[in-house]
Amino acid sequence: MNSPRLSSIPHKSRYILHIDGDAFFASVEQAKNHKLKGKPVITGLERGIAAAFSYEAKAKGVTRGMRIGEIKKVCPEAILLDSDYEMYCIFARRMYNIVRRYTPHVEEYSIDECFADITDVTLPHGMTHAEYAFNIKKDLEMKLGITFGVGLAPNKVLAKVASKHKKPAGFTVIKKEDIVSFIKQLPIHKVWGIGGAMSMYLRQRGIETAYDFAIKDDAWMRVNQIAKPYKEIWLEFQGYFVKELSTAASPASDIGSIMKSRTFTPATSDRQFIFSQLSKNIEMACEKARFHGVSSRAITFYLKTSEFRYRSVEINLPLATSSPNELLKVVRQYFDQVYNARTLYRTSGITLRSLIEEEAVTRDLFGQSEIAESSDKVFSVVDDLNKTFGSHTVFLGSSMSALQKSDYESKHVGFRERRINIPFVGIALCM
Amino acid sequence: MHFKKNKNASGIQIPFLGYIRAGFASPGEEELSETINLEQYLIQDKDSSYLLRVQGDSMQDAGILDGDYVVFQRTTDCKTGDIVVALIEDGYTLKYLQKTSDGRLYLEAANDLYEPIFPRDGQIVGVVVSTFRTYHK
Repeated sequence: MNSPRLSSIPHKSRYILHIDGDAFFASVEQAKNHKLKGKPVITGLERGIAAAFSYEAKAKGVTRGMRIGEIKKVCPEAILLDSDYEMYCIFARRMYNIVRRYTPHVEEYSIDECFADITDVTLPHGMTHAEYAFNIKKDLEMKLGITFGVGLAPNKVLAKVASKHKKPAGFTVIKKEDIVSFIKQLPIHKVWGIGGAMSMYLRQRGIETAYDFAIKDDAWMRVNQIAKPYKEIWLEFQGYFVKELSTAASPASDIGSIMKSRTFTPATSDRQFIFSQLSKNIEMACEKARFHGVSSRAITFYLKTSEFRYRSVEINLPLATSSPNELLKVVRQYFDQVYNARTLYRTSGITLRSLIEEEAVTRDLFGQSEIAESSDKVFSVVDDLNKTFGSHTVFLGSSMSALQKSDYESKHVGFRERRINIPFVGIALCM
Repeated sequence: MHFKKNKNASGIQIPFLGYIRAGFASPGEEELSETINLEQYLIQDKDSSYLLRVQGDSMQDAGILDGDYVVFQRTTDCKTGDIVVALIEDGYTLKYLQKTSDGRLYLEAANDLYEPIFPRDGQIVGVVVSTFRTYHK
């Protein structure tokens, strides 16, 4: 790079790690069940699409969002599984915990990724930052039984480039002097933080790669009115450390969506029973949402038939909520779109999507908020009662018949920090 | 026995009422104020621990019986004499890790009815840290 800026970086170099679980959900499934190792595993069955897939499935041509029918065509031997968000959360939390043994500066970026700053760690004698980073990767892989892509660079944007460089199980270090070679081929729309509209804007100005962008000067940035977040990316491509890590553990960061489902045997077409199962799914999902302090802007509920067919409805909510009463009202309206009295059903489920932090919930102008809010208060009292007297001391009348005939207690997974959740991984044959 | 005390620890605290000698009447009065945190007692490193359920009697002389749960830690740090979890062709198994006089590693059952195993392929995935069973119905 010819930019004078690069040769005169004043401050000492930072060492930022980006750690990314390879095909995380599918890998967790393989860690849970060793028989799935080396096989094409796909999660997201409850949604009818591929949410995550193992490298074996990718090799067969499975792509993100592919529908079940098509998956079965391109990869007949595919193993399709319902998402198990509880388990993905357990593994995510373990990942953060293990990285925190090496440095306190960890940003829980998403359920399968984190950033870590290892600049100021006390390195064991003779060890480099790169070796230290490699040890973190090896420790994660040993303890979790899944592989990680790890990138080490002077800042977050470049660390993210590095972790994506080689997949799976890659380990890539980008030093300042190597930046150019890494970003020269990197298409601008693939850069973390540059969305579709922005990459279009940049391409209209002749910028095809990250490198094209990085070499622009201050005047160009001013004339083209590049906004602050993109200016930060521009600076990081030049080797500066600009984007700070947000190291406060944020409760919502590790749950992209909340899914609760239940399979009942035998399959049934009893409308009231099925609705009460769904009602219980909703209650449990809402309990989790309230625990994490998030509200949902969109939901999907579904029924699975005894022939493993899915009928589902996606609903955008006028107002974000974590109140089961609000959601039940909505689900009741749409229930008959999925339910047919002549069909036998075996599973009900709900996914809360588009989760937002409670404080960020926007208030509407027409008083809907007030109604929703007063029922939020009722439910925080319910949560307190359930905490004091045990789960489901207080529950919705519509869940009644579900609670009476279920093994709910044994399936319930508790609040994540209060209980230690140890994954059960199978049978040890001693014969 | 030694118990770590940690007032802030999460989990269930169970009062410890002293030792009993099976077969002898024993005054169980010492250390009456102690409590044991079961999670900490059964689990060393919560971030690398996993559960397995035992099927079969090959580890019975080590006190690990059919139907027991074992907690194991995923680690590469194991030495001879440890009860290890190995993933071999048939799946997971538990055995003592042992070494022959000429330095070859093998897996040894805790039951004379079973022959030592010299696995052709497979790997040791971890070390057993505790085992438990319940008697409630």
